[in-house]
Amino acid sequence: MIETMTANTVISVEAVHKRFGDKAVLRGVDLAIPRGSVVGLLGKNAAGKSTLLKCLLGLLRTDAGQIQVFDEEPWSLSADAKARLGYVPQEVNLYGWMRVGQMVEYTAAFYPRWNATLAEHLLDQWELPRRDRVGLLSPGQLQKLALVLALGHEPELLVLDEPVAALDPVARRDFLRTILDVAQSENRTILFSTHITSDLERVADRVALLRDGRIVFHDGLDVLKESVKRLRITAERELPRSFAVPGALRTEIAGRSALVAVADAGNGLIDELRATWNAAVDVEDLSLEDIFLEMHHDG
Amino acid sequence: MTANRLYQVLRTYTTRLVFWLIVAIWLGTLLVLPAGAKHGLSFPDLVDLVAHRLFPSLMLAAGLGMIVGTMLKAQFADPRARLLPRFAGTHLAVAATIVVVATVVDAGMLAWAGRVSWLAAASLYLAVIMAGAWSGCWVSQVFIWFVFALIYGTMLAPRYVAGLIQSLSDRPTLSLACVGLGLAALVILGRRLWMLSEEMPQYSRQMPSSVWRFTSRGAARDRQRWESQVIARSRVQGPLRDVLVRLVFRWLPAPGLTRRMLLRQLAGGFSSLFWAPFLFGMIVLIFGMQTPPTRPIGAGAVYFMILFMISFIPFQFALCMPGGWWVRRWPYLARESLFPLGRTTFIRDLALAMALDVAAAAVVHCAAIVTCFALFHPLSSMVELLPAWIVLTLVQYTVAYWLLFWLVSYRSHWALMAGILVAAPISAGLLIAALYAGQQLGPLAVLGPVLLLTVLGAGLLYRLTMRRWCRVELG
Repeated sequence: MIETMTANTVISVEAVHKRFGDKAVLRGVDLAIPRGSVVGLLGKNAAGKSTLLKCLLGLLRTDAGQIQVFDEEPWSLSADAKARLGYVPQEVNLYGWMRVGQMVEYTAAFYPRWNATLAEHLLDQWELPRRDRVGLLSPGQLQKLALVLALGHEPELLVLDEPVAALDPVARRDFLRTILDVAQSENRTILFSTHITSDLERVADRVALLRDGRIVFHDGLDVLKESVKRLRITAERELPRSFAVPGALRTEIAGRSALVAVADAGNGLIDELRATWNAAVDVEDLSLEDIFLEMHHDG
Repeated sequence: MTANRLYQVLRTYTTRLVFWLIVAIWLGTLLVLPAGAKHGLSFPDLVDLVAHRLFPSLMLAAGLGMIVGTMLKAQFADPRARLLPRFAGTHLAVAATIVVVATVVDAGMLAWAGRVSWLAAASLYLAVIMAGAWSGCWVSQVFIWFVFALIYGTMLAPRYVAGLIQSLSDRPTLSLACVGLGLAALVILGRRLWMLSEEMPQYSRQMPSSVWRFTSRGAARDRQRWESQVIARSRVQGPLRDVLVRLVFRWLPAPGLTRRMLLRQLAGGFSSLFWAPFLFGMIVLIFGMQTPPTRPIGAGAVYFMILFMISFIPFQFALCMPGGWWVRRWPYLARESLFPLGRTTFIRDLALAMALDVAAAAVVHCAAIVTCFALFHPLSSMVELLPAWIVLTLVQYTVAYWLLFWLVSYRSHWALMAGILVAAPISAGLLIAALYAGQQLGPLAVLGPVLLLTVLGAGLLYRLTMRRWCRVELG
């Protein structure tokens, strides 16, 4: 799937490869992220989500392929481009000896534009004690602080690597609300990786599925939900072992019945199944989590 | 405690290449001890052995102790220590075996080479190893300075260290008591680790979470917590840093290089302010110990020994302090590289910030030397060497800076330590050689080529190091 870059694209990735020693992590990733979208990057553990995000930010070098962020190569991003992006890593590393307030001031001092009011508001909202030493914060508090630091300069592109992994449910909800607020700004683009599909469903308008080092799906969340379905097929006669449905992600056969998850339930597939097997076909909608599980089913 | 369990715990050490490297160096230092051993060893011979051959062996013994201590702390400051059956006992047994084996072998070698009692040698090594292990576990300043005093005492005051060994050798009961104390320290250490629980402030794994990889993910988190605890507990560092931060933000210069340098010094907690007095004090102490109170220092080996020690021991310390900090700073660099600066500017900033740290050390070093010339009158017989010495010290720091910047790019404490351990004595030796040549040929005849070589070398190192840094992946 090669995605083309348009004037409205903030991030464009073409045939990107990255390996660590013998292990190929990214194997031809193509992705184009339009301005103003909220994209959830979904993938199993060790699928390469963090690696991809780090390549996008120039923290890692790609072995092959091309990436453009704000029309620049990530490895040599200009100061202007960097001023327009914010990043929260999975593992937050901040100077442990500094106090929370000092950490915010320190980060602010590097940016030409810093919204101190927003940073203060977020510190209050997330109840981060300004006088506490950063190293003594809990992982959840640390994650929140990292978010404050990433949002303070009101970046046009916000890249978040598992941003809610360490947050409690209340903080997660607050965070998602903040993401939505941030996303409402017209030019703002958010790319975040997560395992928590319910959070992704709540805020993302697009989803990119990373599997085996490649993007296997990238489109609107609605499109994904419309195309991936589970079919419950009940035929009049016993289904053969060779029973197969085009585009099936998983097939379970038991006598006259079959349970099939398909990547694309459109294009007359259901009518064709009904006609060919003289079968009743029930179509089940799937949650994003179910879709994720079906798409990663190896059996 | 099955043999398999012991074997599995032992493998936590032996599967590391670094462990074998240390063992190899340790065995090497043991071979140095008996070199030139004499049969009827007199006290001056023992002093000679202490002064010239004991240092590396004691250094490795302390290092081994520190590794065992840090490894134990990393294992015990972890829920596994409480949840896995017989975890604690097995780890302590393996650690105790390593300590005992190292002590027995080290002491045997010193006893044979120095013709002193095995018990005396064992008490010395056990004290050093246990002080190292204790420091590895609890960062005890007292033990760290005890180890430093004893190890560097072999060079600075070999007569006293030899006297101590001789006294212990002559008094078996005292030696036995010292060995008993060392073993008691081992038992107490084990007991404290066994009792360690999450609610204790000492639970955090202090500097490294893994003794083998100081910059791992967990290590960075541990580092943050440890830093906070140290600063929060300190009555000097914490408040002083708060004041400095307040001052910086009050008078923050306009955006530009000065502002960024100030901010990068701030990120380092203005650490040079805290270790510079130690560097100064160390130099004054070495001068004080080596300078005869009345008689001027004559030409010959005596003052060259002083020059070597000043150019080696404090120099090593001066490189370890900023170097160690910069390696520990690695996990923060990914985030900082995304601050609005181009890559080359960011790398240049790092280079300049580290240069400021090393320059601070060089200035303190030179200031301490000049102060000592003013304080200790017998040094006046060496005063004609002072200008050349200062220039050569600055050259030494200049070259060391580039080496340090290059080493830090490997993100490894081991690479840093190995580099400093090799570079410090070599550069000190070269400095002495240049000074000696300057005396024979005239200072200008030597300083000219040295400065030219330094400029050329620094230029080459600049290109190589900057190229390497610009290609380094910070993620």
